[in-house]
Amino acid sequence: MTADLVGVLQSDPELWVLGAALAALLALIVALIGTTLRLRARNNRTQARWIGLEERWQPLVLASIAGRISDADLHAQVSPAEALFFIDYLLRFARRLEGEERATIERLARPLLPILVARLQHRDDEFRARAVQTISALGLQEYGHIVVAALDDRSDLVAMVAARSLSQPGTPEFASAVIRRLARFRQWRSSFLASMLARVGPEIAPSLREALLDPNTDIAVRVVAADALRELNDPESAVPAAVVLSTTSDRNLIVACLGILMEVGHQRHLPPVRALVSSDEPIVRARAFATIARLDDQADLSLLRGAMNDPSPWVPIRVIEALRAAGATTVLQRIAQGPEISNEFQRALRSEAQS
Amino acid sequence: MTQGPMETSSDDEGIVSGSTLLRDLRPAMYAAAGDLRAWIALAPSLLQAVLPILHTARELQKLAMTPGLGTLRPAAERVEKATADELQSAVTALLETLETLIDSLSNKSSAIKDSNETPAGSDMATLAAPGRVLVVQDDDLTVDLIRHRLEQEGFQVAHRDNGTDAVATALATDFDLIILDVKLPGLDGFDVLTRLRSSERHRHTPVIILSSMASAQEAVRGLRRGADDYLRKPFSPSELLARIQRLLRPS
Repeated sequence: MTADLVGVLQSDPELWVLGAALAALLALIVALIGTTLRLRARNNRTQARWIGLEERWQPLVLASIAGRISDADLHAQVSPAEALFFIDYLLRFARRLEGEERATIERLARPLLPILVARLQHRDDEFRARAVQTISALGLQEYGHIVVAALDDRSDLVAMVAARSLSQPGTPEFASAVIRRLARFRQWRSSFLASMLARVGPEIAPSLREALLDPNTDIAVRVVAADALRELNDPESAVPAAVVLSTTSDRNLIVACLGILMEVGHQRHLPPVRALVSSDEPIVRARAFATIARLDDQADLSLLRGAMNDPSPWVPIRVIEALRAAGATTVLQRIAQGPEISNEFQRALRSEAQS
Repeated sequence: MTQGPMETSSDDEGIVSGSTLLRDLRPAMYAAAGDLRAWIALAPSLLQAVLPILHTARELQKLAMTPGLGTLRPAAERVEKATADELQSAVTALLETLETLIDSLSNKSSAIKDSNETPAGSDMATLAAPGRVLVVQDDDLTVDLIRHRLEQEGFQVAHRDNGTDAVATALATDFDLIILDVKLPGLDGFDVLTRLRSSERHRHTPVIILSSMASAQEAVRGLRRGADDYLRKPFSPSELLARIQRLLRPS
């Protein structure tokens, strides 16, 4: 039978090719199955090792938190080969604890953190990012300078992990370092970056105001600074926002500054805003009208009525929203009675004013 | 009298499996109350729970006189032979006997092992003792941190990892204080709180919400539903303990 098969193959060279391809495919399948099984076995071994280590360490860490065993006694239970596992294990506690217990966990981790500092030279971006995250969580005060240096890492991932780690509540000392490097994070959304900075708390506001006012700072960074100040509801940012409105022509920065004034502005900040109601950009006109409607309870009725006829439908919508948010129902009713309002829009306006 | 390690382990398993089953059945038993059909439906499960404990009792009898053992066997026999009319009282007698037996077995097991660990099978005894805290959290490490800190201070801690079980356990058992998460499988913490407050048993039991939901609105929502305190995660076990002690301090 084998001879017959060889005979058939010899008679047709294409069958040789087909047979060889099939054999190669079979070999590939066997190799893939073998690799899968080997990886699975390795994962199982790692998992079993993890479980064993956790069972060994948990009572020790809990006893350490309770002050029943010394740090040295605990560290004696961790071999050098297990140190990275142990740091990861401590990280789980650190994420759940604060106060004196959290301080205990950080103290336990401190002698082991140099291992992670060495990992910052690893060629794999994810290893470095993980090391930055863990160092920040367990030793930011001691290793803050190393995390700041990671803002300049060649990988955007590592730099972003560093920026997020340095933008924690109550760590304003790192704010200026993060703001200075914000330009490299252009690919992230401005609102995300603003939220990240605002999370630090009101202590970061002076650095943000400085960035917003500085004409040499990248426009994208100034926009992020303005958005963060708006999220913080920082009352002192109204004046810088009004100043920037008078000096910039960048649409995004204007919109961001109008956002600040809408939240924390005052009538005295309105002059540069009034100049923007004739902007060519619908979004700028909408924000400018809305800011006037929000801040000026004696707003020029004819100005606001003019907004109702704006070519962009968003302008009247934003004005109405702002008037409603400001509780200016009388102004709303007077606009609704104006001749420039269509019947359908008039009905909607009256309904808004009465609701 | 001495006890080999193998025998101790076997004893513990019997107590643990039996008492775990009984603990799980306990809400259903309280719910059954005067409903004879419910008791009849529960009887097979109860026997299943009792058998490992009976086995353990026989093993331990060889080692020491076990209080409660003498009354256990007749009660079990009564369950096996009972008519429908007798079943409820038989099961009740069996339960009472079992609780006594579990206490004594647990104490004995503890003495034999000379261990500081919580005696196997003592969960029901735990629930009946003073200074009891029910921890309703689905994160094991958080539970371990709380349990460790509270047990250091002499509290006895029971744990449930979902809202439905927490309500069933709490409605059937007295606790001095309940620590409640908000995000839970099944019923969420607010729903659990509402049900606890509408029950006679836990209308006034202090409840502390321990949640990662950090907004002021969530705290207000919890306090309005009847929580006595609201603590945000990450948390300090020492601070939690201080708040518990404040709430449990006699006014």
